[in-house]
Amino acid sequence: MTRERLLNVLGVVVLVVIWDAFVGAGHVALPPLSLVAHDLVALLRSGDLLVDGLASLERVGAGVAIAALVALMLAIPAALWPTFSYLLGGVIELMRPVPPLAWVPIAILAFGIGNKPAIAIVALGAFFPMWLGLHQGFAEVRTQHLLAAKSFGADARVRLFDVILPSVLPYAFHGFRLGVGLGWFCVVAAELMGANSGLGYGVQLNSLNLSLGKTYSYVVAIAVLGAVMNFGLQSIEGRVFRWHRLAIAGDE
Amino acid sequence: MSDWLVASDLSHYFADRLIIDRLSLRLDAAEPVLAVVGPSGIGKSTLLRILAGHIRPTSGSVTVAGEIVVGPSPSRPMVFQDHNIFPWKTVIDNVTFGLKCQGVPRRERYRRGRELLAKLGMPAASEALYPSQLSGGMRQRVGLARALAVSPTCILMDEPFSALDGEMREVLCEEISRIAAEHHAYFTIVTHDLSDACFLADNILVFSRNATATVIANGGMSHPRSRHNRFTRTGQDRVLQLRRALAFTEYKFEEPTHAARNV
Repeated sequence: MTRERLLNVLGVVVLVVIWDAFVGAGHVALPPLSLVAHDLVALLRSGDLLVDGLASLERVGAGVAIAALVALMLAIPAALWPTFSYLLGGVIELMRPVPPLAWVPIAILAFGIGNKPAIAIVALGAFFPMWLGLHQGFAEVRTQHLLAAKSFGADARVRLFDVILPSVLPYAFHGFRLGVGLGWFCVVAAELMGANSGLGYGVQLNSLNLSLGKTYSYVVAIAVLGAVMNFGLQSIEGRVFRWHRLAIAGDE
Repeated sequence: MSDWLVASDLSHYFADRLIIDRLSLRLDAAEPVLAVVGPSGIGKSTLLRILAGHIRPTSGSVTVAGEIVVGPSPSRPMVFQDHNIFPWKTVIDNVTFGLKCQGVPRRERYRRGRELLAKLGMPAASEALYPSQLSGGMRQRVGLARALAVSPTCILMDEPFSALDGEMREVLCEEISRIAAEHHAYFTIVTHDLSDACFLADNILVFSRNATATVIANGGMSHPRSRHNRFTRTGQDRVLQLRRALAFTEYKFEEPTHAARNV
């Protein structure tokens, strides 16, 4: 384990110690860790946590897929036609500062309670970083690289796979990773308000029932799943786009 | 001997501005290195792109090694000053890119790539590195190796020395001279440093502000490609001599840098 990872783990241990100290001081909003652990095991055994976790993951998957598709469908013509890019740029910059959660009531009005509003909110939240990643990626395709490829007789297929995609993908993947993170953030928030399953719904339901141990169990599950997804995507990014990390480090 | 570069009445406009005005020249195959000098933005790189076939001249024609330039060709690869090699490919994949475009099987192209890297003095372990892990000089050598891999007739280099320190400039100059002799390749090199042009080129094409270009034969110098010469007073006298000869072009040459300091 690297020094950085050890420090990461140490930070979590410190958090647990602080938690325990607050419980000892009689803080009402914090249940004992033993209770959280007990309820977490119970929820895992009953399968409730698994069902809710899968429901949230399904919504994130669908929302992220929609966001990626829309971002790609807009980024390609924007890269090819500057006029379209400027037209779209204004709309996107206007929409981007609006927190996705502000759209939750509208999404519930439009789609009712269930999967659809949550997926719509995830798609909206994940879209902007994905769009920015793709937009930046296409801007990074250098004319000199294309000219060099052309002068070696590269056909359209080689230019796409050996020049354009390697230029775009590091930025696009970075945007994708941030989009998944934001999507996860959005799904939990959307489920808090307008869903009848999912981890956010679990938090809401158990807090209304004043079941603090189960509420925290759901919070822990949200944190762990989000961290695992981010860690997984980060390590893929680090391995697949190692050259990009090295190039950035070289520029600095 | 036949002529390797023939430009006939070549003119080019860029956004209504005349960049090249009726350039005609013939360069003998026995004089394989042409340097193109002139102030920034005067049209040196435009000429290089015309030779590469990346842009079509407004009028006139160019023939390189008997082939009329009508578009890009692997026989005339370009080596750029920067953003030249692909940062996402390892050294060996960069060097063999042209061969990949030609459909050469992976094993064969790696074999040829390794041979070239060894010839250019690159350590074997460097083939798995990415360009960002190399020094400026090594990157230039990878760019050269990539160009050489496709057995070109003419290598077009845009400011190949500008990112290099004095020592590396010398090494690259020597390599270009050696490659020109051993591989029978022609070089067209755009540079803003007259001393590089002076010690490397057989002919120097000087661009002036009025879009005219003049060819100066550089072959009269004694051992113009000798590394030793650049660091001697004789060598410096050669540069001064060339400067005086070019005075009529009204091109203000930069002060010799590494060469002058070493005299």
